[in-house]
Amino acid sequence: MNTFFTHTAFLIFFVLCSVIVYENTVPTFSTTKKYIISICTTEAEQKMQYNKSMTENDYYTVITDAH
Amino acid sequence: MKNMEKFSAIISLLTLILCFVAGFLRNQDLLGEQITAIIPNSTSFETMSNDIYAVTKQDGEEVLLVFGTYPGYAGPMRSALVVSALGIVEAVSIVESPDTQPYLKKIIDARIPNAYLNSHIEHIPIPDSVSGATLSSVALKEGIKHAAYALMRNEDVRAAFPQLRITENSIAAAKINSTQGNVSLSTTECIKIILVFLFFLCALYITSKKFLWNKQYARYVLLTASVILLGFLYGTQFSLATIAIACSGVWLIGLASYAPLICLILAIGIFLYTKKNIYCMFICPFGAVQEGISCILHCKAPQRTAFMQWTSRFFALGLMCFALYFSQASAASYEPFGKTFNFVGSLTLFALSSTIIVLALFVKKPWCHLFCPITPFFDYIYFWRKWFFSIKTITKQQ
Repeated sequence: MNTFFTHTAFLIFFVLCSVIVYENTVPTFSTTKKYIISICTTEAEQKMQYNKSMTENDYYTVITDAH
Repeated sequence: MKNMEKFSAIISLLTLILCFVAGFLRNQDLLGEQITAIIPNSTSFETMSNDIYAVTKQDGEEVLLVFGTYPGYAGPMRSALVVSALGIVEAVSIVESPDTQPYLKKIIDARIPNAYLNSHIEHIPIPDSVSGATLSSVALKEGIKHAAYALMRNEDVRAAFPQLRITENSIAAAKINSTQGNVSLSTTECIKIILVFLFFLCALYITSKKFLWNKQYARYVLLTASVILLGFLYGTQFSLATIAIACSGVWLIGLASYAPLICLILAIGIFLYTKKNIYCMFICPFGAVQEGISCILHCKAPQRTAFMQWTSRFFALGLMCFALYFSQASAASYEPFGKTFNFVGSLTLFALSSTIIVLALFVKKPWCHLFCPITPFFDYIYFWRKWFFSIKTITKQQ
């Protein structure tokens, strides 16, 4: 019984280790799937800047200007 | 020696070799997919020179794609720049890197790649490195600098894209910039390497017969110094990832830090020569931390059953195969050293580190005895050594 508990605890630890391996290898998996780790482009940057700067107030101004 | 163990040792070695070869072949075929991933609307590409490609987009626009490589912490980081016909940087990509996820995430979160966007190839900016991921940041910045210089100095590129308008002065400036970033060992790296040698020399001296004082106290002093210097201050501890780096051969291209690799080579060399695992006994900072905690309640070492032995062996072998196949040393990394000493890592790693440290109060050196991949690695080396000498003895007797 004692051995059973020890071995179960031991395996739980290895599950935890496997989760860490998975976290560390996110770049590996993404590279396998997408062939690169990360990409940033001017298009994406512009879209992001546009969304960031667009406050509720600006949106309201844009709407009223349009009218 | 049991035949089963001999069989497993040979199969393990063959599996590792197979994974290495398969990984090598896999990397040969990636270029087309990588170009499509970086420029999704590309239709065709033409090789202009090594690592420089002229890519045609769906709308007929032609852009330049250039790759640059520079050593990061665990091996070379490959980055890419997409440059328009007018010389403006349109995209920056981290293509390959063996560094672990937390370090790469720090670079991306700090928006280092974004700093290059919309700049002209002649005036590549120099963004600040991220604290805690300095070596990975430098690898990206230097890779991009090298890529920009390679593009500017290429005569074919300048002839095919005259709109780039690259002047000789800017090529000279880029050359100086690029040369400044040549791979060289920093003072800190030299100190690390010297320290590693000193620690091994001290450990050898303590174990020798020439040492006349109390060996146990000397060992405690060395372990304490190791925790402070090799653990907290310099983070110079080898792991399964270091073994993967050594086996994959990426260190031939270049590494930002050679100290863990030298530590590994010294540990193996001394182990093969003297049969003493000096590293685990006298130097390992994480082992020292656990031993210090275990001293509080004077607890005993856990029993390492055959099931535990074989599970940790299979786990380590599986990770090594994975790391060699994907040429990704970080795939073999699950040790809590980074979190314990440098506070870098995920929440799961924090949970593991904390649990091990608490567990060390009740069981002596739990990580070293049950979970550390270095233990099965030394078991494996010891097995081959024993087998080799038994064959040699039989041959001599005949």
